[in-house]
Amino acid sequence: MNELLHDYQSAVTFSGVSGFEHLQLLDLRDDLEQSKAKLTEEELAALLKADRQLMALAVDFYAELAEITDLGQERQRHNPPPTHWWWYLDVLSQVPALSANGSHAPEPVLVAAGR
Amino acid sequence: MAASSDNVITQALRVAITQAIRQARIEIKWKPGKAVAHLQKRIQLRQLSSDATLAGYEAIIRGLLHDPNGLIYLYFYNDAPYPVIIAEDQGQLWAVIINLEGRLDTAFLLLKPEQYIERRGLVYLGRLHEVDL
Repeated sequence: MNELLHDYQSAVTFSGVSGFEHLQLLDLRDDLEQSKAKLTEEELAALLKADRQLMALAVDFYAELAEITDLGQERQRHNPPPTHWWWYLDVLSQVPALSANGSHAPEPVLVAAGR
Repeated sequence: MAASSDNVITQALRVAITQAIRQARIEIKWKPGKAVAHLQKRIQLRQLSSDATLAGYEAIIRGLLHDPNGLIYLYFYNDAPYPVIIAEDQGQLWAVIINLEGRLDTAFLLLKPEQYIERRGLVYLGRLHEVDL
C-alpha cells in the first residue's frame, strides 16, 4: 500500500495525541490529495474511509490543534483551497452531527465557506 | 509567527529554553495519561517496531535531546514558546517538542522536515552543543 496512505490511515485513529502531530497529518493529507491520481481504486476507498474517520473525530482532533494553533491563521498562511476540507476542522467541529459524537458523519465532500 | 530570532528571543527566554531542555533530559514527563497513546501511535505508524516499549521510546527521546548536533527551534502560539529539538535517530529526523517547563508534548518522526519547519514558522536558535546545557 501507498506509504503516505498507510501513515494517514494510522494517524487518523489517534485524535488525542498532540496538535503538533495533527498539523503534520494535515500536511500529509495535502500530499495525498496531490498524488490522488496515482492511487488505485482500493487505495481510494481506503482514503475515503480514513477521511470519514478524520471527519467523525473532527471535534477531538480540533481540541488538540486548538491548544497549539489557530486554524484560521493556518489557512491565511498556507491558503489551502476550500476543497481541502481537512484544514477546516475548526468549522467542522461546529457541525452538530459531528460535535454530538461523530457517529453520523456526513460524506467528506463538503466545501467550507469562507476562511 | 515566523520572525527573526533577534526580535523575539530575549536572554531570559534563552535561559528558560536551556532550563527546559535540561529538565527534559533529566526526566521525560508526558502529559497525564498520554504516554501509552504516543507509543502506540509510533508503532502503528511503523516508526517504532511492534515490540517497542515506552522505555525504549523514551531512550530514543533522551538520545535526541543529547545529540550535540540537534537543532533547536522555537514555536510560538499565543505568546507561549515551545522549544522544538530536531535531531537524527538511525538516519531519520525526529522532532521533540516540549514546553518551557520541560514537559514533553510529543516526539515524532518528521515526514518532511523542511516543510514542517517552514509551515510552522519555527525560529532557529542553534545547535544543542552551542547552548549552555
